[in-house]
Amino acid sequence: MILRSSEDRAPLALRSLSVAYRGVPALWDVSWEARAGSMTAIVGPNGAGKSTLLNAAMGALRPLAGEAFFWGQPFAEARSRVAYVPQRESVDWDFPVTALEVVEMGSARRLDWLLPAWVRRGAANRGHRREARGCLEELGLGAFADRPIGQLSGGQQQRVFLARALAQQADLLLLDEPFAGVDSETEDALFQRLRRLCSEGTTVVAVHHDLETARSRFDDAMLLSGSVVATGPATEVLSEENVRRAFAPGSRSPRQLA
Amino acid sequence: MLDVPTASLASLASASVSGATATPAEGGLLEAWARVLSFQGGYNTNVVLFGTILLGISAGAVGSFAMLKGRALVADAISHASLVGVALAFLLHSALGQQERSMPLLMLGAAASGACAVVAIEWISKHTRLSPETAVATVSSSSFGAGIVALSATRRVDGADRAGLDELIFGSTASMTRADALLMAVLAAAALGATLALYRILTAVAFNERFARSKGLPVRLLDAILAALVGAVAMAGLQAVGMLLVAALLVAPAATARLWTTRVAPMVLVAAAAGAGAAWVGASFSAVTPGAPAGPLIIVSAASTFMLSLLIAPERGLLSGWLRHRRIAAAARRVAASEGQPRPRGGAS
Repeated sequence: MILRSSEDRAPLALRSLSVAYRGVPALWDVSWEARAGSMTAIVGPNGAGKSTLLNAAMGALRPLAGEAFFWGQPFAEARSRVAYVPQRESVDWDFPVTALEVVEMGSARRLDWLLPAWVRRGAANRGHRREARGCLEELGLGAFADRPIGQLSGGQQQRVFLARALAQQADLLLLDEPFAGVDSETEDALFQRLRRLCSEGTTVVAVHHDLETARSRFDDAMLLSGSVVATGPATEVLSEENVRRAFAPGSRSPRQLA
Repeated sequence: MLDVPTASLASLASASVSGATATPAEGGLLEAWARVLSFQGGYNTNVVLFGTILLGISAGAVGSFAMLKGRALVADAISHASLVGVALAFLLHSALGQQERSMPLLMLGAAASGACAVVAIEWISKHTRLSPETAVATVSSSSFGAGIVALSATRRVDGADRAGLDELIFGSTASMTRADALLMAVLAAAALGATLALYRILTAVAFNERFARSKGLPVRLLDAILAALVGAVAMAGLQAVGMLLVAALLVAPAATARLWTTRVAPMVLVAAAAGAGAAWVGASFSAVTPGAPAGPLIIVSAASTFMLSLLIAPERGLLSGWLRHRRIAAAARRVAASEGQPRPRGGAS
């Protein structure tokens, strides 16, 4: 159920979020709001807390302080409207599963998890499957639907993950380095697809490495180095000056924050 | 003779199957074995055989998910840790003045100490910087040490029937009663049923835990359930396979199946079949060769299947890998030769 009032609120709002691993701060006092229907790049050096930010927002990590709200609600209330694409490295790509099966995990609703495929035969299930296949085709992977994911290239694997996110039909996409290992042509196609989603009202927040495309492809950016260096329109945030400040060795490394 | 009248055995709750099979004499070993293999070894032998096969099926299925989850070693830790629980349960039982061995109580002891081991492993890997591997190795070997200490304490208990205790380490179907076999079968069937019911959700969590968490799946609960299923199989296999070897029955069929399959459902089926086959061959051979314990025989046949698969499996097998390498190397040499480059001498096979 979606309350009208919640529509006015930011798809993702962080309020003074701080996270530490074993007493070492990884993220310090981050406050930020995503604009609905926009694409935001989270940029920063290694260890800046970019992935930590996504994980903490979704409650996978317990923050030291602060909160994250999705349309004004905690993540648990809003999770059906959020699709998350984890970092490629966080997954065992030798896992015995096909591309189609991975995408189907995206569209699975609560009960589906408990019913094995042979119980769920029927129109609804076929609909799911067709939907999942459609998402794969949209990303140019129709021919690879029944391949084990281990046989796909890095870029194809990344597209399978994005297809799974599409299958979730979410209003907010949280992507952790979605373009890692993707060739420039595919990257182009993916950006266009994401842009189309945004024009339909979806909000995209992506951890992104490449400053060039962060400036040219994204609306907004958050420059992160343990704490927020700058937020706002991508071209302004990612100015030479700001980038130098964020990436300067040890300048604002999380260890020195506390 | 193998075929002892069922009624007489059935009336003796504690009659052992070995009593029925101690003299394979006449037909020779192979003929006797064939008879047991084809389920003509008598009622009690069959009960134990079916129970053990069910255990193999269950171990294959549960072990598959343990392996996919990267928890194969936890099975090993559970099985090593169960010794201390078994020994303590035994001591408690005889301290209360009981003389008869109580299998359910020993199983409960094993389950309790296995659960402690899992909790300890989780705690160490969560709250220290030690790798999960280190946590498993530490807990596994130190709890086994504690188990040996506790076991030596049981030697001081006079009059108690501790004969079966040593057998629990390496497993023996010979001393199994029908009640034992039934208990094993029920536990194994329960673990199998739960695994099949949770098949999809276990797969999702094993494949991509972070994503599963974002979808709101109860990841931690499922971790606990999987550990409990592994524990249930370990308990079920305590007597037939032995507490140390049951870990191998959980892992070897799953590893075998992974060599032959590229999807979870076929993998679980093949693992279950491999587990069943190993149990069938091992337990039946043990039934016709007095003194050869079932546990090690089952594990040896599971391991043989694995090694054979490792050699000949398509795609993932060593042989096919070697052939693939040869083919591609030959092609590369042809290309190099056709471009007039000097061909490297020797070395290439």
